[in-house]
Amino acid sequence: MLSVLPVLLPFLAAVALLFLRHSRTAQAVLSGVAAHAALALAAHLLARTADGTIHVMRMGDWPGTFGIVFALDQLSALFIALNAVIHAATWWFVRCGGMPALAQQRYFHPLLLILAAGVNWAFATADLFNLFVSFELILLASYALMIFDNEAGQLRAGFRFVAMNVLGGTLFLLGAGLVYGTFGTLNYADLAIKVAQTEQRGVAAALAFWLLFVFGLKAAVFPLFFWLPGAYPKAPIGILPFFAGMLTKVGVYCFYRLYTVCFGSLAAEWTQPALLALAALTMVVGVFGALGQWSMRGILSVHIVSQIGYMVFGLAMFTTAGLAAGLFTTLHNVVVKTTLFLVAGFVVVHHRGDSVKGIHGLLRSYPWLGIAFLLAAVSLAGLPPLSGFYGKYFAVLEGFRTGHWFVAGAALFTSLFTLASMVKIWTACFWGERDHEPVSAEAARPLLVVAGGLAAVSVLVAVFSAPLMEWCASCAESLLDPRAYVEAVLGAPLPEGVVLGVPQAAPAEVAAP
Amino acid sequence: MTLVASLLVAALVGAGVYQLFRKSAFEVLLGLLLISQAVNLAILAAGGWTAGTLPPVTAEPVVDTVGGTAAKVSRVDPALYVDPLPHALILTAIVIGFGVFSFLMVLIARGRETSSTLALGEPGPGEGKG
Repeated sequence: MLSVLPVLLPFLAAVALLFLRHSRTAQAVLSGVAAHAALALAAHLLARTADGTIHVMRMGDWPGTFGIVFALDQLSALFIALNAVIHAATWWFVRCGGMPALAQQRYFHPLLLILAAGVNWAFATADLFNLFVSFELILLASYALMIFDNEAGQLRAGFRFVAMNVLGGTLFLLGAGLVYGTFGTLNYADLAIKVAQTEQRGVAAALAFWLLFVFGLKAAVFPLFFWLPGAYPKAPIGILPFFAGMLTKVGVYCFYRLYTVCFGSLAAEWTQPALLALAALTMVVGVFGALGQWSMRGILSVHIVSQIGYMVFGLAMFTTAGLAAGLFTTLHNVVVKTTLFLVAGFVVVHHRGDSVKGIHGLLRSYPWLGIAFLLAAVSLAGLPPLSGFYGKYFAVLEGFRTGHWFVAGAALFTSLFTLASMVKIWTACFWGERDHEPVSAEAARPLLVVAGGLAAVSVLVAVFSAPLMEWCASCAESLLDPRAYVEAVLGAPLPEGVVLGVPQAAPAEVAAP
Repeated sequence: MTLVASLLVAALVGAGVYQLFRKSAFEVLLGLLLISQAVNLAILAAGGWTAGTLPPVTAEPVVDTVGGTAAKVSRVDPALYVDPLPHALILTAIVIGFGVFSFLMVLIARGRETSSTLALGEPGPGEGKG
């Protein structure tokens, strides 16, 4: 039961909200209750999965892999918890005036909850077809939210966003169909066994690459990120922090789940070189793309792409320390990126625009906003002792240790230009002579508190980096040797002679910072 | 059969991709529709024709004695049944596609109301590339 709750809770709340359409206040309150209940549930899940327990639910109690199976392990719990944090932050942002027009819409809160339910569904399911359906649920909710302001530019960007994702969904469906046609199963655990045993390793690799394309489109890796810079800056500002924080991370989750558990045995031969190349190119192209943008939202949106590169890099090393660093980067990045978008949202809400040429001297008007931005921006660039440093440090260290010095070098190079982009926003928007009328302290406070609150969470991530990194390392181990997950999903012990997961050369050590 | 299906899929995808590169949003929509139909057919071809040909519902269950107790059993060998899972996948995909394509059509209609240019895929006035 525990494993379906993260999906059921927001979904049922969304349905309940549809009956409260006449009262915006009741909708907002119930939506907030659901968001915070999801937060509590996520904390509970983290605690319950920390020792490696896997919570499985079989719909209809079908034996083996015939029915729909939901399984929650540490990886799922981590991403569900991140989703809950971002969901709550988005709710507070909208609640505190982060988009007056959006809060007036009677379908905003139900759609936000459906989006959260869809994202949790993707994290909880243990088969490819449910993953496809959850993608479609996420996308339908995000299509509707994307065009909420109903203006011409947004509709155009929205159409491109929808058309792109429909094509991606179609390709995913074909991929799932081909996986079923080849291996006769869609279940992760069954697929893992079949891939490990198959003679046709080339066919399995072709399927893995097909799905890589689909998830790459979702996660916006190079060269499939082209839809993102046009779409995200046009999205309504109230929902943008959620989009930026979570939607691409669904693709990252699929990378971490499928290329370790299901296609782990193909890692050394096929997927590792491809993932390494993708990681390096994504980092570098993303960071240069960001340099060419001239609004806060534009710069931050394209930066999402660059950061995805780091997450893929962590995975692509296929060692415990590498995966742990990648997971830590994901955890840090979701929080920090959303903080930056909340800061940009504050500027857009109160000053109608966020072009780096159009607004200067914000630091004089809102010193606390400047501090929140600086904390998040410097953390994103990876300066110690902030949270971004630990993920990058261990990823680069592990990159050199395992001999992927080229990608590790690209990661260091990228950090420099990340800093350059952040400095661009800082010098243009925060420094300089004030050219705007600041809103009153009372009017500014609610959104400041929301952005500052999330910035404080990112500081907490840095303070508790040692236990978090240990947690990520134990999660990484369970992914590289997925026997427990596979047995839990199958509901039966593994057949004799099946070797799952990624073979490890030597036991890797993760030093706590 | 597989050859016919492959040729059909190829033709549908070809026409769909051609439509995708047209200017008008409605033509892009038609392209997506064609491709999604091609994918449904491809799934059927990849997974649906490997086993038997009988739909599972046609085999009439009869009351028979199994191990001393009366039970409903089918006289038809289960190996002759067609695998229902690809059909279920396609059915779900059709339902989802119906919703998404309706949404896209509304989007196009709304775009025509609010904007003078019909080409939704193109950057509008005052909008940069990409």
